[in-house]
Amino acid sequence: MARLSKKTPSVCTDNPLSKSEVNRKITLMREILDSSFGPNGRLKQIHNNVGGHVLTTSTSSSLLQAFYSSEPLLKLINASILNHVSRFSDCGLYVGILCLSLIKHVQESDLRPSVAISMNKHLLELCTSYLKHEDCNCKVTIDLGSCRSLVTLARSVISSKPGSMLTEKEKQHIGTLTVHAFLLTVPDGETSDTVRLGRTVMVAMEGQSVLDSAVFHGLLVDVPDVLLHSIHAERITLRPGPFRLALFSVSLSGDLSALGKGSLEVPSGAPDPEDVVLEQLLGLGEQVVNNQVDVFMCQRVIHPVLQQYLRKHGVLVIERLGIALIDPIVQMTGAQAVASYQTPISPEAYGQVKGICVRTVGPRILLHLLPPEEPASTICTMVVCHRNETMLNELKSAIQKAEHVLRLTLRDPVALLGGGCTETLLAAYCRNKGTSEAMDASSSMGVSRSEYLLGLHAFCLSLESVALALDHDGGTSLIDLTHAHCWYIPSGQAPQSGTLPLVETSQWGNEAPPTCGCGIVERRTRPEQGMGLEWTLLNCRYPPFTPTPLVGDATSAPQPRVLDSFTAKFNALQVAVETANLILGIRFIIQDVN
Amino acid sequence: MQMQPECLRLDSVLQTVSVLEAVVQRSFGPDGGQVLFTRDTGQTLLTRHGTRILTALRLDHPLVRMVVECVRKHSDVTGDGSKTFILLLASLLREIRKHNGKAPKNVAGAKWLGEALLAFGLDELSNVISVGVASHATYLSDTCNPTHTDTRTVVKTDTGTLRRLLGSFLHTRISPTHVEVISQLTCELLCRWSFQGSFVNEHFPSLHTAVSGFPTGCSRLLEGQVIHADFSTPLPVHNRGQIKALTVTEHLEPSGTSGGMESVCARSGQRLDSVCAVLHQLGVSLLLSSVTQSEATLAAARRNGVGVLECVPEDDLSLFCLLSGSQPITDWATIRFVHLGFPKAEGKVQPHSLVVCGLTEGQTEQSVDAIRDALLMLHTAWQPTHRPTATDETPHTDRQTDASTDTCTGQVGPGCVISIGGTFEFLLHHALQLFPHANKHTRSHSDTPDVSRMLAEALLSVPRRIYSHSSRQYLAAHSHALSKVLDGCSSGCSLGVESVSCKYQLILAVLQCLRNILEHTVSFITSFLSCITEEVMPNPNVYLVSHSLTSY
Repeated sequence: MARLSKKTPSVCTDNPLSKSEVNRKITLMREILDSSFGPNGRLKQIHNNVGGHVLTTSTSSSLLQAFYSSEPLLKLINASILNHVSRFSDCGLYVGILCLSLIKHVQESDLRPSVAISMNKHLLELCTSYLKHEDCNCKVTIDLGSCRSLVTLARSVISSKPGSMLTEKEKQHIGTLTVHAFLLTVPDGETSDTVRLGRTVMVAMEGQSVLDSAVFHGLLVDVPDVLLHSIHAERITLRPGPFRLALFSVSLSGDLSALGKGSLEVPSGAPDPEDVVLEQLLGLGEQVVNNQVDVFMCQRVIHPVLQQYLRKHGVLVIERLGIALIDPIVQMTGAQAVASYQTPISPEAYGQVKGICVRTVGPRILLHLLPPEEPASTICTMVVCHRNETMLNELKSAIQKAEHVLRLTLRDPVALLGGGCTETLLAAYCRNKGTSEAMDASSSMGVSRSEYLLGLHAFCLSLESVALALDHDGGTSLIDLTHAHCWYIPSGQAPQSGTLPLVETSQWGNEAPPTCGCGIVERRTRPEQGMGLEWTLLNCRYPPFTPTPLVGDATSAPQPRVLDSFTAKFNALQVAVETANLILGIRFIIQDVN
Repeated sequence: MQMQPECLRLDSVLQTVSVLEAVVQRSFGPDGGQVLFTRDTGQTLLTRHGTRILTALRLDHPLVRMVVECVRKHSDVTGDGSKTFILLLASLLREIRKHNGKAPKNVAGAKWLGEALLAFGLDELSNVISVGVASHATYLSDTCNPTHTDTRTVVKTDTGTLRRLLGSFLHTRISPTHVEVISQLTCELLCRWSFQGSFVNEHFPSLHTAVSGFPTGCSRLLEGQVIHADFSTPLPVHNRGQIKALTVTEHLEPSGTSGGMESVCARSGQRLDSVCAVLHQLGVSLLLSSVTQSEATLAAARRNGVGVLECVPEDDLSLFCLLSGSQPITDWATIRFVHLGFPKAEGKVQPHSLVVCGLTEGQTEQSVDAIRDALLMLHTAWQPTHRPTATDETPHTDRQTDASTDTCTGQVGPGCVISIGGTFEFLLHHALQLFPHANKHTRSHSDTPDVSRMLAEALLSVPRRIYSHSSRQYLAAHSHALSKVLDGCSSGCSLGVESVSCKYQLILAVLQCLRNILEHTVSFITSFLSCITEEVMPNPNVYLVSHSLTSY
């Protein structure tokens, strides 16, 4: 009997951002996200209070999926970060930090929400048009002909996930492998307008050193040990390829599940249905043998009698492949997955592999299917090793993200400077541009000039606070007053910052690190520029100035050390500001508590 | 305890409606904020839609439920004005209470006033509007009219007014930062469909796609139709250009069994082969199926290079059939097929679908809702005002026919729009105050001036709410609107515009609702008077302090 319960009226909250409880939760979330950001981010352990699985992570996707809040505003922020991550894989924490600090700074500036919203929108447009512009100083064009910047990009993504606990050498190794795997999935030679990228199949292996990770062209298939021992004896290892391959997606176990539910009545005298099916299977085997198939694969179970028959005729039989491998095999070998055993196999359903060999990776022995020469295959396998499961999972997700970022680069071959430099540059640009056109812009938007300047300051502070969030060790973040890049002094080396006047430019010269956050500006005085650099603290007001681009020839100029995906960060910036605007515009909350 | 049940009830009605008003006015007007609500499923949704807000409250009070129902009915039809509905209703109730205060002896006074107001609305309002308001309004350019048949002659349409109308509507429904993008897209969508508003309206579910995770600025129009299903077997890359598609609504392979084992095995194979042969012969390379197909079928399709889309939503399939002129196959004996590339020869209509982007599901849903209602609102805007509302079951049918024959001279034409910012209310207020002088032949209602003045006063509450943050702006807007009357010219409206017809329908719906409430109130009281005891009656001394109507 259906239970009918009375609906209770909803709970309403008026003007939620003015409630201290809501603000406390928002601050907490900001602190959580802030402290997880960047390569030095602090890891978070998540477990529920009755025990069970413990998750150690600092990546936004795992963190926020596990993070449950009953506060509707936080739910909304959470959802928009996760939606962004699901599309672009990268910059999830960036969205969260920028959005929450915008909310914080707007609240501190005491602007009316509607004014703050239109200001944020205006400044966002300023930023996006600057980023799209050719002369943008934050952009670096990626030369797809050389691996250098691709590796830098992949490395930056991987090192921004400290949960995978990699050393510098390991980061370099994994970064290189990721780019290698990525390049294998890009088809070459085709000039048609649509390009179909291949795929990287990941095989995870626990307990091995990270440096044992490797990339193989083709596919690695897990098979039982018994089979591997017999492979050496079979003819497949004796003669050179290519080999013909048949692939089945239907179960060849001989049961009658395909007929659906219901009872089957067999009149006496009629043949046993199972015998009929087995007969058909053997007929299939005969056809396969006659067509000189060397490898016989099935997604599901193969009847032992059929297996025995095929082995006897020297065919390599692999069963229980699982659905995940079917698509890569189809792509690599050109075979078609056959879904019925009642009809004879059409000749074009067969695929090809160039060869088969046995690979030993750590403790596991895997069967390696080599891709055929023609057409060039775009399938590769990456064996990812790490010492324990938690770190391995983090590493896997980091690699997947890096791969996605690389793919995004293919469409739009530009990257943004990392290490906080893009944010400081954008902030300096907005501050300069905004201040110079404050008069016109404020009147066209219908806000007063002081409101305009307050909104501008809040926006720039929020951008800078993303750069500030990269530091977790109590160091000092600086901005230089020429190129507007971000510099970072580790704690203990900087003088007491509390006693400084607001703008003190000269005295940082000795303590500043040799290069800026992204690595393209160097501290040494450049003779061609005729002047040294001046610095100021990042989180204080400084006079607006035009960031000058770096000059100098391309060969001698230092290469950026840290790069971020342009596409992901561009979207992240928009998502962050729009989410902040959404939150600021909310006047009332109605919670259905049924 | 002896008391005036009427007066008391009216107060409690007013109190209840005022509660609703307090909630709704948070998101009223161009400066209104968003309302975030979480569903019982845990979903978070954003809205500024009055009906949504009111239903989300899940209020139990029978009177509230009645009002909410009225609002819902009204906005289902016109798509507009649900927040103004509540404001108007509340201020009309206040007017009635004020009036009743003068003559407390009149037991059925409130009910009678409600009747009179409604009668006035049905009989005279259209006239008053056409005289006092419509002369200061502008009209949407005729090419945007959905009833306009000859679409071939339309070359370049002036969509400026239409865009302003959409813009100001969306200003009340979505975040102001997204209004420009969305109204631009909606306008373009209508253009592409040659302003066949009702068609777009009907098929809107399959004409839009909501995508979350991107900023709203990424929303765009796509040529062609978006089918909301993914390929089960990929469409072969090699044949671009025109392809033939087949729609099916049944399994291609029989699932049942009859007869012996061998025959089943053999037959299903044969059946598939024959199907594939037919497909091949027809050159079909895309199969749209409303049901899932068996793996064997998919494999056969893959073998023959046919792309298959499974589980295509019913709406998509019917629109596809409509656009391409095909029929779904339910019986293999008769096969018809189509070109997917939608031949362009027939007429000016270019099928386009709308892709709406947003950060979260809640936001895309809000935008989609707003666009749908904008289309409804446009539909209403094209109705001339002399038509009776379809919102309610009206017991006044005889009077309506009267009214339409009476007022056919003074109706407001379709597509009549007027500047936003309370202009309509100011003008109508002015016209209603002049009403008894202008109208010589008031025959049936001797008390019309009374009623019309009440309505006039109540109307002013809407612009008061719009300019609630500064009374100076209110006065400025008022004098600006009145200067129009004195100048006698319809000045071009550079800002947004709103539909006069929608406003008219809104007022009628409010009057209907008001009458219903008052009638129910009285019958409720009279039937339950006997069982009223002191403790269930609310304290008659506690009156809600309403917003002072004379503060300006």
